[in-house]
Amino acid sequence: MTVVVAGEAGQGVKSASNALARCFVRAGLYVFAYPDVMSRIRGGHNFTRVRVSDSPVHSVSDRFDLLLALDRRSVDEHQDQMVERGVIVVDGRDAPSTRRKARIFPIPLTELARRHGGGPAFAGVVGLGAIQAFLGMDPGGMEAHLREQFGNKGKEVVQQNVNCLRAGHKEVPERAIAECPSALPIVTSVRKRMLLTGNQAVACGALAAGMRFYAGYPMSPATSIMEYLAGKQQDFGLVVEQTEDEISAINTVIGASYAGARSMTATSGGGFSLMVEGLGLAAMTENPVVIVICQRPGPATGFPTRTEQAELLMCVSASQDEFPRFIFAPGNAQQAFYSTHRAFELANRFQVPAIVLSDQQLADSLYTVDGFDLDRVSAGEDFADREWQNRPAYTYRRYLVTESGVSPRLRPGFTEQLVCCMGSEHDESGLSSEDAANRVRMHDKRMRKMVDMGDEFGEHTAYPDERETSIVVCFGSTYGAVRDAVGLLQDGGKRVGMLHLSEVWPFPSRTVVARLARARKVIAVEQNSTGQLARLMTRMTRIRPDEVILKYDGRPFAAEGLAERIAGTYVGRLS
Amino acid sequence: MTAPGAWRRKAEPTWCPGCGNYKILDALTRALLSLKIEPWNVVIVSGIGQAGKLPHYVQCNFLHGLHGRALSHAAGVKLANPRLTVIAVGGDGDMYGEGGSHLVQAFRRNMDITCLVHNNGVYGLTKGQPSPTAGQGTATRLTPQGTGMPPFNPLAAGLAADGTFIARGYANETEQLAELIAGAVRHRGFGFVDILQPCVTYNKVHTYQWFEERVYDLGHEEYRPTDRMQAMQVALEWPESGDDRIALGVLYQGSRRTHEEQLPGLQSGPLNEPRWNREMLSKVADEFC
Repeated sequence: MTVVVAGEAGQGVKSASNALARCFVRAGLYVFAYPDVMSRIRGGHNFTRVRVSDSPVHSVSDRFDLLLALDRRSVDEHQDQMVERGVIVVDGRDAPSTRRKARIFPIPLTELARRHGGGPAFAGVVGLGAIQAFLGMDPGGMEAHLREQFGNKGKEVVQQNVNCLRAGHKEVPERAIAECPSALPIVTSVRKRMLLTGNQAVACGALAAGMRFYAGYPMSPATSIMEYLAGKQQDFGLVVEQTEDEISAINTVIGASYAGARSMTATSGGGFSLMVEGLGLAAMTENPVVIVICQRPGPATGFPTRTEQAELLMCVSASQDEFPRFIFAPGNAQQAFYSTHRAFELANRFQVPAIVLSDQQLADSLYTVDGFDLDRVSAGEDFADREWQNRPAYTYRRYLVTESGVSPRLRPGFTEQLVCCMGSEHDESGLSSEDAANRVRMHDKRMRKMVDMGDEFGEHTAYPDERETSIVVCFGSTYGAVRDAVGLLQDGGKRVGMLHLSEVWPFPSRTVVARLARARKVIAVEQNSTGQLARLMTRMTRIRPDEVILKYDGRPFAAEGLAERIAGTYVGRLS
Repeated sequence: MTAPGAWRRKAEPTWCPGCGNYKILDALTRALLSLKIEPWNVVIVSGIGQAGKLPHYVQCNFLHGLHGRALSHAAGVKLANPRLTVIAVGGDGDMYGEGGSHLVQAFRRNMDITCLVHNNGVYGLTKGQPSPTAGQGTATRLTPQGTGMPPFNPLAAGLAADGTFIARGYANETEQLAELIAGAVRHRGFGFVDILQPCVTYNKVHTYQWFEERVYDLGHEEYRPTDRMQAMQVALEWPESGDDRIALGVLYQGSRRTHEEQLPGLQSGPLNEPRWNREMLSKVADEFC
């Protein structure tokens, strides 16, 4: 079922929906929550869909069971999306006079908030109390959550919150609850699970990889990565530097990487456009960097707070000339954690840039994650300093030509060797060289890394297995909607499966060919207007998808609608 | 590391004969020698241009990066390992044009790095276009009618942006320049030296002779480099704006905490070691439960 909190920016939509999601997960349920927000600080219309179930949920639904409408506009916008007899909780003064199929349940939200000491800003908490009543939730869970959230603001604020919550709860009579079709599933064994956004998962992945330096410039929807890490500087001994622009961010990161710190930056497409020259410098100087890109729609400013996947091909070829790079495309928070960790490991092992391609849906959505397996992550050895400690001074060559293309890497100041890194074409020692034969030798050395990089790459998810007649191919955050749509179609007896690529460059051609070998039909699902993954796949494997399902309105796919569009193409039936 | 010339790398400079850069290179190596530091603990970071080539000729670590970005690279190196001596080098096009915004923030940020700007008023590597410090009215192939703007004043900008070490040297006063560079490196904070550098090929106005006739040493005057207002007055002196003389020396030296001293993440040592703490990581994971 889907519970929605809607209202103006500044009315507390985010904190109310986060509170609900947290309580659901603590009660043993699975949650997927997606915030739909406008690019403004006050006013407008924001809403968060909290989808909850007793089995894993991966995407949003367009059908709402319960709506907490903090303003009149929220009722108007969403009442047609309500399920049969779905309930809309709204402030009495905002309740519309005409009724449609949804049941409007007016409560004096603002009045109760004022009466219980909190003022109008607490209307959302009163509403949460009512929602809790309709769902038959234990009020203790929410009260505990409010205590944690507001504990640092003093006892009085906590008490005001609790009073408002109880007041809202009391407003809903038993009779109304009995008529409400929505009730939470009952979970008997409660397991401890995490609830976090994709951006938080990316930040945790970086911490798990031993990242020590971050530089960035605020840009939606990437900023929360930086904000989260800034709060961990003391605990993890890391520096988070807000630079004057994205150009400085990437170039500062390159400097830190040169000096030996595992380093990262995060931005959105516009910021990445500014970083592209720096991406080339990282490649040319062979200083590993991790760049997280939280995609949003449109060239220039586009839709700052909405989602799209139209930067895949840009990332494959960004910067002049040719050089190896990794591109990850995690599908949910769990994958975002492991992908970011692996981006550091592989970037450092091969001394190349690694891009983690996220988007607003992955960045901002709340995902339920069973936990991070810390046995799967560690921070590898990046440097050959010990080996070079006792060699004669000044004999080290930063760009020694090797069979693998990877040269031993030293940190400046650790040995009596000099570390000379150069953005112009250079010889093995790092000095500028315009020699033709040297240019070919050094270029080949860098490009040769692609061989081992490709062998290392290609993590993916095939669901339910590869025997299906039709396979949906996707990458990045569409994982959730495709997974749920395939589930719906399977339940309806359709033979359709999915192949999700969380590692897209070097393109995992062997994996894709093997997985799609027996499919009678290949369908690509992407959030862009030209089918970038489909085009890349065709270029690399000669497999051309039979159908391409695209969406580029800035809103994520919802499972039901996507399932219909997949079913609209030919899908093999169980015989 | 005592032999003179030990700081010179065996690479032949590709500058024009008579270029002011040779003198600057000489001053820098003298300064490094006087500082009694080890070459492997020094990183020279440079951008692109004739000045950007400088680290090739100095026997120490270097990161020769992108046009305009030397100060960003330098900040990253210093933050990752504050024990390194970091010197950012570039020309006027590099530091005042392409990298202007980084310079303004570098004054504010006050990291313990040194910034040397070879200021010749012209773009050399691209053959003679006006730089941000070209005199007003300078005629070039790009500006046949002469540039329409007054030159950028880096010293005044540095003072306005709360810089803590603002100095000007002149390539041909090599001894004084070496002292200024050493002073900038020793200064605990952002040590900035604007270096007047005659370009013998493209700048026919600001020649050796033109400079010789106008420079004077602040050290010989009654001058206190702790007075910011007085420093601003001296910074605003320039022949083309009416005062036919050019001050050399430390215009201003103040003291304020460096950026890196204030960072909680650096209290436990440099960042150039991946740190992996299972206990911390599980604590972080628990915060999401």
